[in-house]
Amino acid sequence: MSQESQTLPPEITPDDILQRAAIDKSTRLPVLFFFTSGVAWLLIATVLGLLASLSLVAPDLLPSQYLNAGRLQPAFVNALVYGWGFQAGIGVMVWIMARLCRTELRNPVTLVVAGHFWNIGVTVGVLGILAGSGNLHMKLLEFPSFAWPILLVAYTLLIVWMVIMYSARRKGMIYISQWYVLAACFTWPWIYLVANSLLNVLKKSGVAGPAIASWYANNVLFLWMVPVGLASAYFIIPKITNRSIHSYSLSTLAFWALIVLAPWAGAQELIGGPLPKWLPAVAGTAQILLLVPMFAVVLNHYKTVRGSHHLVEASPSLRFTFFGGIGYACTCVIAAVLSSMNLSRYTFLSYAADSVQMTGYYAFFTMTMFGAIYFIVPRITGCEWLSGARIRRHFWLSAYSCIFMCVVLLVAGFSHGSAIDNWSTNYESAMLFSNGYIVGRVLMWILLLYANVSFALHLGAMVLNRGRKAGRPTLIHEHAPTAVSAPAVTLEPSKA
Amino acid sequence: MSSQSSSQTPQNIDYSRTANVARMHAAVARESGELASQSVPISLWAVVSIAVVSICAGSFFSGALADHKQKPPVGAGASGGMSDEELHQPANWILAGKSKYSQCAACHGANGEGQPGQFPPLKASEFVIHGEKRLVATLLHGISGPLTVDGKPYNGVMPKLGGAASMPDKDLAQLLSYVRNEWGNKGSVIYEDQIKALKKDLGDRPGPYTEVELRAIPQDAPAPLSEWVARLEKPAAGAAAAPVAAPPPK
Repeated sequence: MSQESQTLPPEITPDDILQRAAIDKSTRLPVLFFFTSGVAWLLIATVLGLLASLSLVAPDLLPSQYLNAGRLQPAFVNALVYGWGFQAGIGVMVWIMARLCRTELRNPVTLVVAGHFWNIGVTVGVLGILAGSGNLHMKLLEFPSFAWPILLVAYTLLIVWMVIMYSARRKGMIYISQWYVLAACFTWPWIYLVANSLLNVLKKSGVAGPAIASWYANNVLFLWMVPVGLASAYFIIPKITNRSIHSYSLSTLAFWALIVLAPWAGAQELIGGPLPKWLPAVAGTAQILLLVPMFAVVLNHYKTVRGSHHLVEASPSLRFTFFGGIGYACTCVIAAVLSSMNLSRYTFLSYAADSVQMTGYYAFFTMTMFGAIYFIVPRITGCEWLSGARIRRHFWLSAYSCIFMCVVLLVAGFSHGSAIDNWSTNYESAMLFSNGYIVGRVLMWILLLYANVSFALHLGAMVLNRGRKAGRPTLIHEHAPTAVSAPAVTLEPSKA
Repeated sequence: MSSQSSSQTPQNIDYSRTANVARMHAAVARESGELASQSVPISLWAVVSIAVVSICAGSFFSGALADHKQKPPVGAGASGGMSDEELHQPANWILAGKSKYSQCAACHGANGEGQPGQFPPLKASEFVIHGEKRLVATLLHGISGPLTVDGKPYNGVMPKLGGAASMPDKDLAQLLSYVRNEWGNKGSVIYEDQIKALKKDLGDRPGPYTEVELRAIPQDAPAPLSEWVARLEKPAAGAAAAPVAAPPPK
């Protein structure tokens, strides 16, 4: 923020500012809708996650048949991914697309209608899982089979407007974030349609079922969440540091490597299973090769941020994005390591899979989305976040509990998985091996619940226009020496 | 209002017209512009690291596929991946004995022909291919002193292999089944329960047999019938490659 000097950077004219303000105003309704309903789902997912981990520690605590671990766990993961992840992601996609295309959003209402459909689909799906009519065992496709057309239609309605915005863009320049947003527009409908038409229309079942589901689940992470998260990172890092992205070539390499390699990965989860062996072999190879785009992105972002690490301390958006970048790297590394034949023997069907999920969905994607929300919401609501201390608390609670959860689940996965691998151990005692870790996970969910409730209240205040009116950014460390400069240009004289 | 505002900005723009937008968007105003990427080429060590990752992926791929082509060696471990019934199929049972023959091969030779004057042959040997009882007795207690096999004299020591400290009954049974069906030998298969029964039958001995004592056991004396014969007959049909413990050919 120190780089946001007292005068405007040369290429920004007040007209630009007004144009941006008009774009932000046009996206206000749908983006806030997706953020708020996404955060509502985040709270639901957090509660479900807490209950799911609690039900493994104290099964008798939740007497209802709807609240057993077998239903709570998929309900939690689906609420987290479709309720929170997708809605937060769509909000970010819409806003970034509008900004970078320099076009106002013409049909905010259509987007909100599509958003309602999406919410109906997710609600029906999560309730269906809890009621026991879901397709359990199909990772991320657990929603009862009538829910998928609703989600697919809603998403299609959304991307139509994003593509229209893209084709009506002004100025020739196409930014890296736009590549990723466009990719995310098309990848998800593709994988979702393929997976559902194979499973629900053509009724492929038996061995093919889990293979399709693990391909789909892996691609939700690598073909949807990673593009959306990276779109946000590629937007926020140059904005906050006021530096250009280090290398165009690295960005191109990372983008195409991701798009080409990711669809091959996924089935390595079933290594050793009753599948043709080439399938996990190819998938595992692709999963290891996915380290290449990760490495290119991390290198590129690191080189861009280098020298302005004080901004990572001060700026909420950059700090969450930075953490998300580390989460992305960890996800890729853990996923690649676990696809190794020798290790997967000890992690197959164990908590280690939950660890990859938490790293990908939470440490990477959720944290990156928090960063984007901290950036976008002040611009579309016109007020500033209430308190830097509160953001700091949100960051540290989220960071500690998701790091702890990922590590603990990985360790628990090895002890759980090697107990399962030992034929003389029965399943019940294999579960007992990892019980201590699972108690730790419950405690971390309680911390996360606190963090997320506090974040939701903070966001609620912003939406209700109760934020700070002062035109200064809310920083995590108000007294950071380099970050105290007043806002660059005051368009609002009465404040001075 | 507008005059004060415009005095602070580089260009004189009438913000009163857009006061609402301007008030709302202090955050927008302090934002930097959208910057184009620099075009720094990919550094050499980044290319090298990518190559290293690709090589790792390649070796994983060939490893995973090689594993695909490799079938578990039949009978390599005593029960490597087989059910008990499969293992007791004569063909598998005999094959399982092959890996135990290595300690016999030191004296009797890999071809089972032995050493003239020292170690008698196992191939077509009168002590091997006839009844089970005499052969098992030899293995359980050993022989010492001069011995005539198929008319040729030998003088060596055959240590005992059966018993608590040495070979388990199951391994011994597989070994003997192998020996009785290799090098053109055609004998019955011996199962572990038969060894156990014969052990009881023969009783304890202070030392190894001599030739006279051994020949006291009739040449065709069989072992009691194995329960495996009945058990394997139910699924029947399958791999009955070698004759199951039936009265040996005379």
